[in-house]
Amino acid sequence: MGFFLDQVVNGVILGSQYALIAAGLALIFGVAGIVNFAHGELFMVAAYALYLGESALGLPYAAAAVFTVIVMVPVGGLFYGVVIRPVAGAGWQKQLVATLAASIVMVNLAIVLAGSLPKTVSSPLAARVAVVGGVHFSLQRVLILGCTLLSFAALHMFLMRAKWGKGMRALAQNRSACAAVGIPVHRMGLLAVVIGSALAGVAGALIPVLSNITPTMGLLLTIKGFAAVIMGGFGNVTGAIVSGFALGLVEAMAMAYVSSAYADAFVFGALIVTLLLRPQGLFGHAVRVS
Amino acid sequence: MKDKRWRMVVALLVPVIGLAACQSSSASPGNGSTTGNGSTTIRIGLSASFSGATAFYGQQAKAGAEVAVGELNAKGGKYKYQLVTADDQCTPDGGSSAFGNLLDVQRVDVILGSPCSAATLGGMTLLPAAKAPALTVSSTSPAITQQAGIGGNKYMWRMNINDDVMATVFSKYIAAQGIKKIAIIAVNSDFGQGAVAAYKKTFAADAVTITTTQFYTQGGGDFRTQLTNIGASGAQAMLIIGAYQDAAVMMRQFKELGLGIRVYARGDVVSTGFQQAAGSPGLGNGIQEADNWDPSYQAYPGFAKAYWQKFHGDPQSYAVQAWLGMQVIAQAVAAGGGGLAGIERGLATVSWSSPIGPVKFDAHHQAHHDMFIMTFDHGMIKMVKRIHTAG
Repeated sequence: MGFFLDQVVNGVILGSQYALIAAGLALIFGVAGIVNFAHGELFMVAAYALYLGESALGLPYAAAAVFTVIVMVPVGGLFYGVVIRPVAGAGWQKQLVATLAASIVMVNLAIVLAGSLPKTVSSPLAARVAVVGGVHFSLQRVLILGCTLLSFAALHMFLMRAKWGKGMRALAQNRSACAAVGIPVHRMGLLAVVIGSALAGVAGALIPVLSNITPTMGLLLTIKGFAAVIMGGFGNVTGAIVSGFALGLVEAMAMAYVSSAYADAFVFGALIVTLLLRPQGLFGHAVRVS
Repeated sequence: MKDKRWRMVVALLVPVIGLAACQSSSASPGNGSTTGNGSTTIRIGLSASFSGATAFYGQQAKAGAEVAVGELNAKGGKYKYQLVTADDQCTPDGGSSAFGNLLDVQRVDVILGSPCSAATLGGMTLLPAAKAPALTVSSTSPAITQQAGIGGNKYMWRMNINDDVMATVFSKYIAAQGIKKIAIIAVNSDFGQGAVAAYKKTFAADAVTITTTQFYTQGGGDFRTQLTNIGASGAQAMLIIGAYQDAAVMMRQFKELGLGIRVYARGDVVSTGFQQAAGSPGLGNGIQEADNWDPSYQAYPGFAKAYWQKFHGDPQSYAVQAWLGMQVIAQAVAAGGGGLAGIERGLATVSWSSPIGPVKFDAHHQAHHDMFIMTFDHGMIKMVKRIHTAG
């Protein structure tokens, strides 16, 4: 039982990382209609911002983490202006190439500017370990889980209650109708990318404390984030979050009870099975095409 | 709209062009002294990964080779050395492409590389047609030895000892420390899979039971699940097969989970790179590692000093091994002359008492220098044992 509980905790922690990335991806796709292959690189930029805050500016961890999320707001705006906006109305092929190219450029720029060797950041919570029911975990993991859930709650409130949030949901349902009634489609797209970047900022401010910062740190998370977005129903933020946690649990259980060599096969196998049973994803709605 | 598209194209192209310029900054082909065979300029082509998750291999190897080129050229003599690079992305296809580029376009006299076994195996098939020698200094796959030299690819040479040799020696060492049950956690790559296969054989021969074998993706960052499995497996010790970047993160999570078993490693874990990546000087205390090189730098003080002056940091394994490889090439040139055939001839005669032991190639073009058991002791790197593998 203790071993199972250990692995559940591992899966939830892993899933919270996938969910943070997936939520931003789903939001950008739902509102701007673009599959952002460079989303993991926004996470990487955020991690380097955290490093910059701690090492160059000498900020304590908490201040550096806030600094990171704030920095990601203009970074998101810049990303929208340079990469997303020019291909907003273009075909999916151009959008795919633009975001993929941005991903490659960002990774290699990071290698040139920061080097390929890992950077580390520290938090006072990382070294403090709690033991609950025989399960060991650092308080930084509690912080990650707490901030992740808090971010999702704030995002949910914004989408359900705020005028701009309601506009985003409308846009996700029918872009043409929104444009016809005067909803500022591009400004909504900009806001979605900025919020997505801020979520990547939250991930970048929390996760690197437990790992290292490298130019390619976003690649693996993006792949799993995409799996969560597809599994949840493309563009559905709630679906992406739930699927992120589900994939984390599947991965942990596959590693615990089958083989760590095939954990990824199980993750993507779960995605395929879900799509076979529900082609529209867990939270997507089927559409009848005449 | 057109303006905006142009702005995007320019914004994307400028960094790409800049990167391309950086990658090929070492030298450019066609300068009139590039074909070897009588030329006094020896063009050395470094095949390594310069992009993606394994870019640090190439950056480190290039830095070490650059220091060596500077030293060799400063000594004067008949030959001048010039370094050119190609990105092999640490893959078989990338290796084939990089070796092809270095031989056909850059027209190098000898290839140094690749640090990755997969790329070396992919590229070495091109050597016989070009009659060009290549020396790898970090690839550890036993398959390279099996395919090189007598009865095989006579242009492929390897300075470093391979995983079969290291596993044989290291598992005996571990067994002698009283370990009967061990868990393995390895990077899920050609290197990791090859090393696991080698250790499965040698641990069985030394009556050490492997309780579990766990794999991880390089750069993955979360090893809790694998470590939980290891903790539950009843192992007395854990063998890490992987790079220091991952090992540093792994050891943090090892402590977080409260695991108290002994740790052995194979890769470049006991290194200053680990200490920097760990963020805590005592994190690696007690880890014992089998190494191809001496990470304490006492063996090569001149190089370590020159490296510091040029790059303001400690050289890691790939830098040291590239530097050592360059010395071997210089010895081959001194013995056999320049050009493809001269260096190939010269490599067969190299007999060098290097800082890491004797470098002399056998019939399969494999050298047998010493192996080092290293450890962290109170945050300091110390050599536990130096083991001769020759003979």
